[in-house]
Amino acid sequence: MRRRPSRPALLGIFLALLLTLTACEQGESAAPPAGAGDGTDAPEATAEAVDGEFDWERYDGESLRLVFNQHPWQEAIEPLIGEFEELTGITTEVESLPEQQFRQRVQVEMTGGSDSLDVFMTNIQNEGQLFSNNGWYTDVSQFTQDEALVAPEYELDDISESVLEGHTFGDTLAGIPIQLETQMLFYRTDLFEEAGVEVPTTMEELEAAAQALDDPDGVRAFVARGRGAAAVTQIASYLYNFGGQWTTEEGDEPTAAFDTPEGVEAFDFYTRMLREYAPPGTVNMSWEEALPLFQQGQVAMYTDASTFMPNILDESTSQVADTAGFAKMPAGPGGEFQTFNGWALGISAFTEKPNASWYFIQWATSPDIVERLTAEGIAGPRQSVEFGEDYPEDWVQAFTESLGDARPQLPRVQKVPEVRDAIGTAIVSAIQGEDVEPAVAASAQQFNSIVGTRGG
Amino acid sequence: MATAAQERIEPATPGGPSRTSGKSAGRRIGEFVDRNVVAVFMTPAIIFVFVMMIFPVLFTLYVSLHEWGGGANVNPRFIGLSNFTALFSQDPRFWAAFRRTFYFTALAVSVETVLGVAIAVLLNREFLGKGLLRTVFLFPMIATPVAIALVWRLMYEPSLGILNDLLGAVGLPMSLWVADQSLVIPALALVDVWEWTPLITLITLAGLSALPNDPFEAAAIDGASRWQTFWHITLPLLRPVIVVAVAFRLIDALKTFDIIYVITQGGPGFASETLNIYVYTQSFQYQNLGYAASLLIVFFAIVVGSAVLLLRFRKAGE
Amino acid sequence: MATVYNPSSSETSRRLRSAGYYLVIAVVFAPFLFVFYYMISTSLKSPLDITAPDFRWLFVPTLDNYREVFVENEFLQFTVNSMIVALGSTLIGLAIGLPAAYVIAKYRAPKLALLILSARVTPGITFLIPWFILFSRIRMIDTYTALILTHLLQNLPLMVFLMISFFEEVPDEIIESAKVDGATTWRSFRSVVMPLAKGGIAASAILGFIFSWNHFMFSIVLSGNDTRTLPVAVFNFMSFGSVNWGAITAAATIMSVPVILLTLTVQRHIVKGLAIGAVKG
Repeated sequence: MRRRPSRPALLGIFLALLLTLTACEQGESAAPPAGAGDGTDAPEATAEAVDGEFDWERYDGESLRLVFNQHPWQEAIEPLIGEFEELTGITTEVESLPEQQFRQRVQVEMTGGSDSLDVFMTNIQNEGQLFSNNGWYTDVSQFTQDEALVAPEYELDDISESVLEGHTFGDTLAGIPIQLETQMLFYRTDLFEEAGVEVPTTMEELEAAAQALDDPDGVRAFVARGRGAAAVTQIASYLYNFGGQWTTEEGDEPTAAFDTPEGVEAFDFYTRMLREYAPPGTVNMSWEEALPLFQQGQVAMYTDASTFMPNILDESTSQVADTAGFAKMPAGPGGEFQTFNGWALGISAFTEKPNASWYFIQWATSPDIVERLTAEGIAGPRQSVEFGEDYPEDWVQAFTESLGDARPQLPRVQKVPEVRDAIGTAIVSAIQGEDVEPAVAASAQQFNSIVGTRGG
Repeated sequence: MATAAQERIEPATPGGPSRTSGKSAGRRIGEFVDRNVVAVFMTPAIIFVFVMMIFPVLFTLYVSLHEWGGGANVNPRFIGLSNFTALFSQDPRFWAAFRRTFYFTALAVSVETVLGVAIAVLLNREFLGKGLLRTVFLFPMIATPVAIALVWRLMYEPSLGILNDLLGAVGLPMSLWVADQSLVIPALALVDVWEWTPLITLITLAGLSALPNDPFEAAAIDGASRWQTFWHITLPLLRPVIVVAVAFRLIDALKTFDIIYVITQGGPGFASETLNIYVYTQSFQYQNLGYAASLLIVFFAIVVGSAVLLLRFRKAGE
Repeated sequence: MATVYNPSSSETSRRLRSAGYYLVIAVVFAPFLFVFYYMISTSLKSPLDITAPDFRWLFVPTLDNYREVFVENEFLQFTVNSMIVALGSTLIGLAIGLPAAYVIAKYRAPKLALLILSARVTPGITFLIPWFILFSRIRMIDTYTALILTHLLQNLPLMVFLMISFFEEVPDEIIESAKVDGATTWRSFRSVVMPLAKGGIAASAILGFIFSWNHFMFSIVLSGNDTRTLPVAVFNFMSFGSVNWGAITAAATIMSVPVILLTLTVQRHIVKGLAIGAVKG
């Protein structure tokens, strides 16, 4: 990977002032009022037409900037990128940031229309609608349909059509999925055995198991994310399984539906589990804080993304590698629904190298790479790739059984980050012991005002 | 340099032609500067500040009247004052952040002031190591806030942090500190107090050393107690100094960002979301750029309004 | 004061009182110093000592955390970035700030002073959003220039404000006599006033440097891979995987060291600058 050499700073008053002045001039003409695009001239990058056979080395010498979220997929792919550079002659510059900074970085550059960003990771459930409404994705389907740009061994058909549909907004295929995850129950087989507890298959059993396992002065029974917005993806399966829904789809705008009695019960249950059976301070915990608790053997059960399996089995960081078990999320009075989430790779609408960018995506989602990432514990999008022998059987079973008709974890609205925060407040207040019903009702009201007419 | 040399050579020919026509360019520039010294010396700084500020101000005013998500093919949509009416009438988060901002500021600055002045009075005599202590007292305010905030975040950590260990050692129940909705603002204010009490102390100390002696001698003759002397003489004399220090702290505390963002990012829930954090979230996470701009204008007005009020207060006191 | 009869007992009580005084001072200062002690000691602990349920006062110090910070991160690059930005904004700040402060101090230009100082009062976030849109439109995100210019807007008012106080201290008579000797304003400013205010200039420069070094909010948005400054880099340590407190405290320590060393060199002037700033301001 190549890094741009750091240019010496341009110092000196005169130069600085000059720069500022030109900056200002250009800036004001570039600012939106001065007729920058009138809605019709979308800046979206389109494929450069090419003839002839597919050739990996067609873009030899170009360079790409890739922006990734720090994530197990990113950790696994980064060491392999050298191979991409060798194969194609395209050089890359990778920037990996923690999730919040990552989102901010991408949004900042997109808002500024920066052409220095080429390929980025994107979580479709979280930002798909916003980004596509803003015209920030390059339509990837124009590449997948062009034989001169797709390697013969690529086989797009191997990626489920319904998954690709989920990544499509209007005519725009926003990206190619790179990783899928379901929510799972991680548990400690040794502690379960000791206490004579069976793996819970219903919510009722989950709480009973928590009661039986909990030791307030030692190993606590349960943990999950409690930090507002981060917890929203995790409460989804509880919500569905108690018979609740995020939204109703009547009329144009979805309206909040999680404040029904079923929804309130789900919120009550999830937050009660965290209040009564979890270590203190869950309201400030996302997976970054909760996962180590499970790895260090401080909790007996943990519900979170299936994608953390390798971290739990990694003996260098986890003390429970030998004793961890995996199960589907328990069913509830409202049925049994599993949930999924995932990441994709997209191309910036402002890139000046759309084709080379597509090459990277194509390489990263090629059968060979997906297979090798799968061997590292990253569940990829290709149906033909089998999980290796290293995968724990119970994990594979839970994962494959869940994925079939799993529901998305996040509500399908445009302003997902904002409604996540609104829903998150109800989770936080409930964990801290406030009345659940009014808290959820207040969140629902906020939800409706966000997706409704209020300005932006 | 050339002009100086010239002058030294030529004084013998006063009234010669060189005196009227032979002025070097350097000399002429020097005289121009002399005539317009204020303009010349100020211009670079003024131009810089003006240019760096004027564009943001105009841009913010413009965007605040629009709905804009930063989209490339979506232009800002003019919606008049809707952002402002929504802000004032439909956004409980704004009002909560508004109250919280003042709660944090009032708590932090009042504790800093009382503590800072008290420590200054305590230190206001000669003793061994005074200079050293004064230097050490600079450290909290100049150490990188992000570093300090990270250390406090660890100290507040319920299971790893030292604060719960200390509570446990003296037999008190554990606290959730910044994970507790009702404790988070006081806990953050404590960090601010730790950081900035030294500023008040140092400024007050300087003020103390500049006080005149007469009133104190008079008080001693009248037999005033230490406390009476402090309350009726020292404090009123120090007032102008303290007011300036407090004014600075107030303005900065209203804008506190680093320690809150690093320690809680406004959480748990929104329990530590101040106006500055809320604006940041609206812009860089929600991408509601128009709404954020209207928030900014309100926030700006609050900070500047507070500054003006403080100046009034100070003038009235003089 | 009661008349003292027994000199030796008064000596004892004086000693006792002075011992008590030092004790009070120790109690007052302990919390302020403890945070630094906590930062440094944690940075020298092994993960096991950090996650131990009780705070360990005694432990076997290790430099592993520092090694990790330097080996696994481009920490040197971040440090260089911070240096360039802080030096750049400080030097420009001096170049345009000193003359401005001088005329404000000696020629009474309060209106103009107010404009410069208004940048100090305005919340930084007011500028941040427009700047980031502007800088990205002209492709200046992730450049030193963008960071230097933005840090400068925060630093300039601070430096000007400090320097006004120092310049006011320069006696008018000296400037007058320079003028009588035929020096231009610029010359007398350069060769008479500035040397006299040397200490103050050093203090403003160092405070400017420190505040730029410490600055977080602008850098988190406007810096990128090539220009990431230390505070942003250290903050990013926070967020991935299990939180590595050893490395974080090590990085925090490294970040604070230059600032503290700098402060020690000019502490006298900084204290004075803060003080006269407040007394006269």
